[in-house]
Parts: sequence; structure tokens; C-alpha cells
Amino acid sequence: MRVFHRFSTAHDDLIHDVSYDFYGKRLATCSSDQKIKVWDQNDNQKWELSAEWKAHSGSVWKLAWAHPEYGQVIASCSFDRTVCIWEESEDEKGQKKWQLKAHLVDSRDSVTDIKFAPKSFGLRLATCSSDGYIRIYEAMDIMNLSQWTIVEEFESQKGTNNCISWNPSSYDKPMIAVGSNEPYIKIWEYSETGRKWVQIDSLTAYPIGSTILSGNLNSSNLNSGMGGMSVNNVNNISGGSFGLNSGNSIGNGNIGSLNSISGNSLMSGANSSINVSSGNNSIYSNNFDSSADGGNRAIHDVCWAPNMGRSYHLIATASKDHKVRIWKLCSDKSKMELREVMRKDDHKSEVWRVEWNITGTILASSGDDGNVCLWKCNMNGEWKLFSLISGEESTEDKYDR
Amino acid sequence: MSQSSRKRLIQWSPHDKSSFIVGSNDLRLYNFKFKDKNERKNENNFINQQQNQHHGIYSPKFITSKYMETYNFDIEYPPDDWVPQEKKTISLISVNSDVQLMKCMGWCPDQSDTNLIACGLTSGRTILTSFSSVNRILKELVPKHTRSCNAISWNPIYTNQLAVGLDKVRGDSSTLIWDINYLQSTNLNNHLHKNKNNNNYISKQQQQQQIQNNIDQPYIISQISDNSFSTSTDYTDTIYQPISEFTQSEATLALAWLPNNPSCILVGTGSKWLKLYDIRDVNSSQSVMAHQKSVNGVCVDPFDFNRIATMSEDSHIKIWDLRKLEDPLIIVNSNCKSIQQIDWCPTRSGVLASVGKDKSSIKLWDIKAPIEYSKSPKLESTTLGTSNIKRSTSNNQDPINTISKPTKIHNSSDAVSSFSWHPTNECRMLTVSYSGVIDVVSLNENIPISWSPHGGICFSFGNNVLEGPTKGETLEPNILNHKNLINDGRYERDISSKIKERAIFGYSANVDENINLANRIGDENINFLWKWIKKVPIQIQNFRRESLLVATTLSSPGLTTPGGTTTKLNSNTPNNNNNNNNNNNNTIYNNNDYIGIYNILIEKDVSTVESSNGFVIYKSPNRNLCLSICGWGFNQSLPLENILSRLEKSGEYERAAAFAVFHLDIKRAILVVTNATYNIHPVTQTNHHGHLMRQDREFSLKLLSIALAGFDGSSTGNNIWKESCKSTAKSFVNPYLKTCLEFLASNSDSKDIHSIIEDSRINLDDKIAFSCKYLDYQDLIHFVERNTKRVIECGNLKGVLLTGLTGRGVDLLSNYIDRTCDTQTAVLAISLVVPKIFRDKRVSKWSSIYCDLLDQWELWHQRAILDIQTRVNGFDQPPLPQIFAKCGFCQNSFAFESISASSIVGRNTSSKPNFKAKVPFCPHCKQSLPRCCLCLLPLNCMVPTPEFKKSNTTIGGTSGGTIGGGGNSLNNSGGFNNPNETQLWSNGSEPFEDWFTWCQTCRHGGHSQHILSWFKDHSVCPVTSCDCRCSQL
Repeated sequence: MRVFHRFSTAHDDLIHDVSYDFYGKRLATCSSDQKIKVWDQNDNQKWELSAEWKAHSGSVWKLAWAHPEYGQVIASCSFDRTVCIWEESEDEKGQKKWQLKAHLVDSRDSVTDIKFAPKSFGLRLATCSSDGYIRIYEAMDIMNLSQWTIVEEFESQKGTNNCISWNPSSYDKPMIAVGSNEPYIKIWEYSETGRKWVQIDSLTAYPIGSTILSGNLNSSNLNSGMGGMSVNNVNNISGGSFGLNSGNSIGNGNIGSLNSISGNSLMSGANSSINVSSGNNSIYSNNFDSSADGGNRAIHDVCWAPNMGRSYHLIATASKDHKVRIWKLCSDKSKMELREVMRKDDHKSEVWRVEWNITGTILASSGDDGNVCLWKCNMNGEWKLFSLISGEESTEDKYDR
Repeated sequence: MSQSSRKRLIQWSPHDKSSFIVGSNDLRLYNFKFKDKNERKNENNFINQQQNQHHGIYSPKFITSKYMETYNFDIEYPPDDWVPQEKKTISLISVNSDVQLMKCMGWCPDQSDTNLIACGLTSGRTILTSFSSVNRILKELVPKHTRSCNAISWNPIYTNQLAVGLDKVRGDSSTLIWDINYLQSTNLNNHLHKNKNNNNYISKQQQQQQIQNNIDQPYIISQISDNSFSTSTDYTDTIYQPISEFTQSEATLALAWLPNNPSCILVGTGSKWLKLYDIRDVNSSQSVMAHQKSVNGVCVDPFDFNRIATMSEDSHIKIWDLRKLEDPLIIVNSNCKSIQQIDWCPTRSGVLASVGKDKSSIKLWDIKAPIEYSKSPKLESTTLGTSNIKRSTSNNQDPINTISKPTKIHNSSDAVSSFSWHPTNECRMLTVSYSGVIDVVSLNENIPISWSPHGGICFSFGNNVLEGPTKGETLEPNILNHKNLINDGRYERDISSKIKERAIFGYSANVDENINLANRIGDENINFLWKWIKKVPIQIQNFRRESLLVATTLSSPGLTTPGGTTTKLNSNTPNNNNNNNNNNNNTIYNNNDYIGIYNILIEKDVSTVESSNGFVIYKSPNRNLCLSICGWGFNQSLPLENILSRLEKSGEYERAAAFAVFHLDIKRAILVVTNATYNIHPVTQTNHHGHLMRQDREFSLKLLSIALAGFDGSSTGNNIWKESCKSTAKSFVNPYLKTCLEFLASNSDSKDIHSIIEDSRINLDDKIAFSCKYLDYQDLIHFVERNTKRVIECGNLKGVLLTGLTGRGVDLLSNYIDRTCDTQTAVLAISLVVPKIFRDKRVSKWSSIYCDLLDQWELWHQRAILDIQTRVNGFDQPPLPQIFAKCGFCQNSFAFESISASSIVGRNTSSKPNFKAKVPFCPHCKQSLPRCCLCLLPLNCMVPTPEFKKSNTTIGGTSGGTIGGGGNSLNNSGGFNNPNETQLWSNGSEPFEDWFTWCQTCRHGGHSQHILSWFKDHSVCPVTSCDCRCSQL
């Protein structure tokens, strides 16, 4: 039996985000009631309300704590198209108080996600908004948090961007993963030479199953893997001899056409993968008929795992098509490779959030079914469900006193 | 209308949070609940009776503070073949088949009778029925003209009032307000009188009891509203006279009482009107042409009684403000032909659910969104949807907002006939399809999750937050309780909690300490690593010393030693070709005492060959070194016998026998086997397989002894015996027995033995030692090379035996981290060699990651110890001073000055501990140095406090805020952010009190001790007329 504390936040509406601070001693919650509340853990391991204030004139979507090196700083983003920077400081009477330090109003639509960069890049904040832009702000003078300048602004995706996540490792170039209504994540990287953020275009993504070269490489494998970037609708390129309707009949056709496109790279990739070289990148990106999907494979959340010195990166995505996915990002010299290492639909409903633990060894995901699933890698390197926490069940407790 | 497509209605009970009714051709009462936790527990065989009694799902024990309740509940640990159990159960409680041809229904909100339900029939009659007794009709409300009943609504305040909306008929009103207590029939009075004596004063509980007792008697009690009365079964009370009637000549399609004004009712009519009546004065009514078609539904927002929603046969839902009924506030375009039902969410403000006719999707609309927009300061309303019905363009008027994008869509499998929100649960809704499929829908939205660095997790549910597990618990299952889980490493404790725990109990770069902690670390591979680290440098150093000795003695007599190098490992020199190569290697490995067997063996050396019992044994100094590293270094001081008897004591007879055989001591091996057969019996084995295992083991050992007895020690050997040995070996389970027998039966040449050892599954160290003994150089190198690659590939920590803590060792550790994420062990182990012997980017990355981790856990002491250890391991010379001070006037360095003039105590690494410098001025320009702003003493002076004991460390004076280089490091440790932390520092490290600290903003400062005590009581800088709030930084 594991004990969970349950406490009412007394928010008047749905909570949109909860966030521990760096040390795990404070908790911030935000809600549709436009408020932010900060909770401190007392000596009895109980959470006590330490501050609450009305933060925005719209639902507050997300919160982010800055690294404590920069003080007690929270950034919040809201439906009201703004981002606020809050800092806790003492007033004349020695009372601790959260003060609005900056109000960033550049977005033309609801700001859907905010994340602070790893601390080694300075006090930087990436925001993504429904207007399709990623904006990166920086506090040039960390002693004066009211001055934030946009250091970078780029359009990642026409239409909504749902979520962003920084590469938490300080040893790589700054990188951001962006999830939108498109069914694949985009990874952006700061290019030192161009002095701007560029999308990694040498990136190829392999869904589960694509590693098997023959036999199993049928249409279902390819199509079901569309949640990430994938070599999809290959039959279009081969002259459209196969209809769009998927079925067993086109299985062989796909194999054939794939061979013809990626040529020897397919054959030489016998060790691991179908290698769609950069020249063929347009294949999947152009043929993704996202409008037909109607955003049904939209990515709701993306989370970049703490690196812990591993030679690869793990990125988890939560998407609307009921799948939790883990992608393994391997960089091989100049080339990046994104490989799907887990795809699970145990939520049986839309998946909303994914979150890694401190070492990047357990992934938590939450979905419409009201459950929080925990995923872990077993000894064979397969990611498996290892526990399931139901919030719903205990909600019932409350009413059956 | 066919049976399957018959409209079904569903409604939650407003009283009991787990029951609901479904109405179609009959009325059914259901109960919904989560499957009992005890039940599920029993299924899984991990019951804890006592706890369940306290924490069963229906009797949760909770501690209530202002905000906090604590619940215990299980996390499910799904094994591989896990299928999610249906936790929710719906059970049919009761069926009332008297109700037929129902069009609409309503559950009486009155608390005193929780089971009273009104149903509107197609005949226009409204019947009251109840589930509290035998199901039957209690009352009938009959309008004058027969026509279909369209809507029913209970007055939420005066719960005896019931509004009924009917189809239009000539000359009669279509909205009727009934008083269900309207007493009309004299019969009723009689009945009432008759039963009064019996029942009137019986408390409700007793009544219920009685109901249960009298369940089969034709005698029922129903308590309606505040007038308690009862009826008998054989009589249905009929009321013909409504208390109020209105809405002439049009059909009433929708009704809603205003909760804040119980005499007012909203009426949606068939001729597009929305009307607001006061039943006390039905002639005056407000009305508005609400829709293009008939108004099919109206409901009042439970969070804002002035906000109402209407729906129509067209696709629009409109939101109105009652105080300004002329124009709708918001228009929701639902994108479906016709809307069937709308309802406000009772638990979240501004959320409206709608379902289209014959549609399987329920859409949720957030009404607040456009309101927020209009409030937002920089509104450009034109960007928000098209305000196509904008009638007035006056500046004052708010534009009409249109919403066409639902915030959420729930898709059911079947077309939804009706839905009902759970009255209190945020996320629950019931739907019923035309075919009668009831679905409990969880409309969870976006459950945010956050991980605590301490391994806990928190997530929200509605407006609650669940946080846990509590301290000392982990998310992983207790293996004792969950025996049925597969053991594939998934349920082991997570590495993050292991790392934290190990860090706390003192796992560090201290080798001896780590060996002592072996039990608590509890990881075989890690313990192996540290044992190896402990012993290998000694062995290698000894070896080097000896070989150096040999080399010099060899070279002095002038013997030919080609290459003639004096490098330690090269006592037996390589070919000319490899000479340079090896020299380069040597420069790398020369001073590394942690090299692996691979590095040792790759060095060329001359081996001598010896033959014993038909086997060829290779010997050379390098091989001997490897043997001793693997624990096979037997000589006079450490005879083989010691090892064997130790192994025998610990019960490892197979290994002992194999050891004896590998050293070709056949007699001893036979002795081991005999000892074993004597001793195996008393070994008590607890598991029930024990007996079988023991027998098997004994048999195997006996078999070996027979085989051993047949060994004649000749290389030619007895072929029949060899063949049978080989085939017997295959049946052995134990790898040692198998290898041992195969070895004896081999053709005793290097190739043959190579293939044996290649396949063997004996421990790596034994394997390597074995091959060092019996393989010729080619095979040995080949074998070691292959194994090295293999251990590196799988990141096996035991592989350090081969790789050592070298570049390849880093490769190995890198793969180890990839596999396990145990950065801690990698960092600690490699810190012994890395900055000192060689450098590797990856290692510095790991160590900074590990330091960050310790920081996040606030394990400052562990972090400091690690820093010190890496320093000590890393550099021979003392660290460079981090603090430099220079005079602000003449810019001369004090550090330099302290050496030349020896007039000032320069740094904390002062060479003259007892030298008390009291120089209040700069030795160069003789300007006075800054003073502490509190005690006004110059800063390079000792602080005059009575507790002042040792004055061996003071900080060099600084002046005027011009602080060079490493000023930051000082400032960090002296920061005031956390009083506890500084407290700790001042307690733990005395001299710190005498240090100098200053504010980065106003440049004022003083002795840290003084400054600290000042800021206990003050928040402003101690310098007069400076209002800097230094302590906040």
C-alpha cells in the first residue's frame, strides 16, 4: 500500500498545471480560475498554502520554476496571450510576496507552454503559442528581472504549437522539441554559425517496426507509425499505382516502392534501419496530409528526458491518438536519428501529459481515462508499464464518507 | 418508433451520488460504484486485512486539516499479461414498468424524499413515482386536453411545484404548474387519516426499515415534500387542477426555473420565443425571439444564475444574460444539424455540454473563453470568430462572440440519446444510447503531472492534488506483497532513489569506505568494481617494481635485451615494429595503476612453457600478474589450499572442484567432491525445491568424481573415456562442472581449450585466469580482445577487470550508464584516474551531472566531500588560491604583497598560521583599508570576539569593492538567501565568521558574522543613508 496525500487546492476550476520547484520543496498550481497558488511543505510533509494570487485574465495554462540560482522565480502563461514573470521578494515589513516582474505580451494568441532553459544557457525562457511562433526571451541582467528581451522568434508551425521542451543537457547545443497539431515533433537547434534556430533537417524518424527489413514491413507497420515522422504514403511517389486505402494488398507494394526510393540506403541499412537520406526528406513531410487527420494525431505534450550522461536522448510525447511514445534521439556525427522505442496505448484515450523523473528512468503519463501510468525500461531495454495510479478511484472516496 | 431507436433518458440522482435512472419504456434505477477494493485485492492475493478495514474504499480514513486529506490507495502493478480490470460496476437496482410512453422525466430535488421521480408521458399526463417502495405510480397530474408532454421541471426551492410543458392545443395553455401536494380528493384524506396513527411520527430511518420489513405487503409510505402523508397501493391520487397555467397557443418545449427567484420560470416555445414568466403574475412576461426555429432547451448556469443557455432545432446554442435579454452574449455554433440536449456542467463554471441529434459525440464548450477575450485589454474582436449576427455596431455594445470550436469532444461508440452530468464529481458523465447502452464517461481534462526530485510524484484531479508516495516509500512495489510480478527489472527500485540513498550513507570516491559499504550498496557488480579498484594498484605497483628490478639486473650483465627499454611493463621487449607503439601506450599507462588485463597482456612478453599432466601451461610475468589480479595468484604465501577450503566452507563445491582441476590437482578435486557429498546433506535449504536440487547436485558431483578418477594424465588419453566425459558434460547445469569436465576431456591443445572457455559461462575472472594459464599467446590475445569488446558493449561493470580504468574503461562505463543510468558509480570510480592520468570529455560531463543531482537533493556535504576527493585524486599540487585581493587605490595585489613584505596574512592557505597581521593599511600606498561597517575595524584585522580561538585563517583585506577574480565563490557561500544554511556554515566552520562579505549592489560589507547578526533584525544595509536591501539578494 502506497500512501498518497490528497489535498484540495480550493481552486475554483480545473488545475492545468502542477510543478515542483528545483528542490521539490515547493509546489505551484495554476488553474482556469486565473490564479496561481504556491504551496510549501511543512515539517509534517504536509502542503500548506503559502501564497495565492490572480495572475492572468484567462486560464493559466502552464507554470515553470526558474533555477533557484536566479531566485524564486515563476513564469506563467495563459489564454490571455501573455506570459508573466513572478518573483518572490520581501517587502518593507519582511513579508514574502510574489511580485509581477514582467509581462510579456508579444504573442498574438494563447500562449500554450513555457519552459526555462537549462541554467547554463542563462536565464532564458522559451514560450510557444497558438499563433505558431516560438519565442525565446532572456533576462540580460539577472538582478533585474523586469527586463526581458526577445532573443529569438521563429515560426515553428503554422497554427497551434502545443508544447515545447528544452534539451536539459548543457553539453549539447541548445535544442528544443516542439509538439503541434501535426503528428510529429520538430526539433530545433541553435546553430552557432547561422546564429539562429534551425530545424534539424537531417533528422529522420523511424517508427517502431521499421527496423525490420522484410516481411514485417507491411503497410500496417508504416501507417500505424504515423504518430511520429515516418516514411508514409510511399506509394504516392512510386507513381500512385496503389490507392490511398490501406490494406494488405498494398503491403508488398510498399516494400517495393520503398526500395526504389531509398535505394541502396535501405539495403545497406541492414544493421538497423531504413535510412531515408536527407534528399528524400520531402517524401514524408510533404505527403503528410495533416488536414485530413483534422489534428487527430496532435501532440499534446512533449518531454525531453534528463540526460544523465547517456550517449543518447529520450523524448516522450503524449498524443491525441491515444499513444504514449518514447523516441530515442541518437546523434551520429552530423546526423541525428529519431527512433521510436516505445508506443503504447494503455490509456485507451487521449494522452495529455508526459513527464520524466529526475534521472530520466521513469516516465509518467496521464490520459483521459483519469489514470497516471508509469513506464520503465526493463532489463532487456524494453519500455513497459510498471504501475498505474488512478486518481479517479479516490475521487469517489471523497463522496462516500 | 422501433424499440432500438426509442429515445432513452438518463439522469443522476440529485441526492445519492451513485444512483441514476434511465427512462424509456420503463424506468430503471441503477447503482454505480467502483468495484470494492477489498474484492479486487482478494483477486490479487495481497490482502492486508487490517488496513483494508481502515482504508477500504467506502470507509476512507482521512486526516483533515484545512486543505489536506490523506488517503491510502493502491497503485496497480501490472505484470506483462495485464489487462485493465473494469473497476466500475453498474448494477440494476429496480425496474418500474408502470411508466410507459414516457417523453421526459425529472428527479425531485427535495431532500426529504430522495426517490421521487416525475415522468411526462405522451398522453400529457405527468406521473409521480418512487423507487423507495414497490414501484408504482403515486400520483397523476392530468391536464384538461390530451397532448404530448414535452418538458418537466421541478422548482428547485419550492419542491412541491412542478412545471410541465405540453404541446399546443387550441384554447388551453401549454405550460402548467402543478402543486403535487394539492389535496383534492376526499379519499386521500381518509387514507391519510387511516395511516396517520401508524406512521406519522415514525422517523425516516424507521420508515425505511419498515419498508424493508413490509416489502411484500401492499402497504407503502411515500413522503412527498414537507407534508408527510402516505398512500396505499391500490389508489393513485389524481390531480386535475394546476396552480398556474400560461403560454397560450404555442407549444412549450423547454422549461427552467430560476434558482434564485423561485417564482420565475423560463419557457422555450415552439414558435421561437424564449419567455420569462413570474407565476404570481402570469400575464406579464419578458420574451425574446431567441432562435430561428423552436426553442428546444433552456438551462440556467449553476454558477451564474443570470446566465442561461438555450438551444434550438437549428445548430446554434445561445448564451444569454437574463438582465439583458435583447441580445445573446455568445453564440455557439455546434456544427451539427440539430441539437438534442445541452446541460451546464454543475462542477465547473462556464462549461456547457451538448450532444447533436443522432450524434455519438458529446461536445464541451468553454463559455468563459470569449468573455475573457473581451475583458482582455488588447482586444481585437474581429480576429475572434465572425460576429455574423451583429445587429448593432454602436461603440458601447459588446460584439457578439461566436464559438465554433469545442474545448473537448468525447466520442462514444453509439449515438447518444441522453446524457447527465454527475452532480459533484468533476469528471463524470453518464450517457445512454438509443440501444440502451449506458456508458460512464470520464471527462478528465489534462491531468498535469510533476515529479519531485525525491522520487515522489504529484498530479491533479479536478481541483485536488494527489501527492505521494510519502517519505520513505517508493513507487515501486513491495516485492514481498507482489510475488506474482515478473522479475525483469521493471519493479526494482528506480536508480534515482538508489543513487540518493547511496549518496546519503556515504558512497563516495573513498575506496576503503565503499568496500565497507558493500552490503548496503547491495549490488554485486558495483562491489566487484570497488574490490578490484582496491587491490589492483597494489598488485600492479609490486609487479612494476619487481620487473624494474629484473630489467636492471638483466641489462647490467649486458645481455641482449632488444629495445632495452626500462619502461616497467616492457621487461620482455617487443619486436621492433611494435616498439614505438608500445612506448606510446606506456606513456599513457605508465602512471596509471588501474590498468586492465587487456592492457597488460597486449604487452609482448616471453612466456615459458611447462607441461603437466599432459596439459601445456604457459607462464610469464604478465600472465602471472593477470592471474593474481583474477585471484588465481597462488604461491607459497597463498597456497591453493586456502582458496579451496574457503570455497568449501561457503558451499561452492563445484567451483572448488573446478579450481582444483584447473590447477591440475586431481587428487584434491576428488577430495573436494567427497567432502561435498558429506556436507551437502546438512545444508538446510528452505525452499521446497531444495530436496530435488540437493539430489541433483550430489549426483552431478558424484558423476564428476567418477570422471576424475578416470583421468590418467596422459595427453594421448583414453578416447572412450574422453568421449563419454564430453557427452556427460553437456548434461551438467553448473557451468563450473561442465567446463571442468570438458577441460579434462579436451585434447589439451590451445585451440581446443579456447573453444571450451569461449562457450563457458563461468565467472569472468575465472575465465580470464584460466585462459591466461592454458592459452597460447595468439589465442589468449584473441580471446581477451573479444571478451573486452563484449563487456564494453554490454556495459558490464565486471569488465573493468579487462579494460581497467582507461580510455576503454570509459567506453565501458559509458555503456553502463546507457544501460542503467547509474552515473554515480561511473563518476566515483573514474574520478580516481581521470583528471590525474588522462582526460575525457564524457567524464567531466558525468561528474557535473552528478554534482547537479546532489545539488538538487540538497546534499551539500556529500557534494563537498566529492569535490574534495576529486581534488585530492586529481592533482598533486595544492589547488590554486581562488581569492585574490588587491588594493583599490594602488591596484597592487595583496597576495603578492604577503609574500614579499610578509606583513599581511594573505589567504586562507597561509603558511604562517599564528601570524596575526593587523595591518590596517595597504602596504604599498599606505592608504587605509576598508573597515567593517559594523565594528569599524579594518578588515584584515582579527575580529575581537571572546569566542575567537584559532586565528589561523583570515581573509586578506579588500578595498573599496574592487575585487578580483574569484570573488564570486566567496559571495556564493556567504549569500543570505537561506538563513539555515548560513547558520550551518557558521556552526560547522568557525573561521567563516571572520570572513569578509559584501553586497554586490551597494558594495558595503563587513565581517560575515556581524553582517549576519545585523540582518537578523534589519532588512536594510547597515551603512547610514544607504537604503540598499542587501539581504534580499
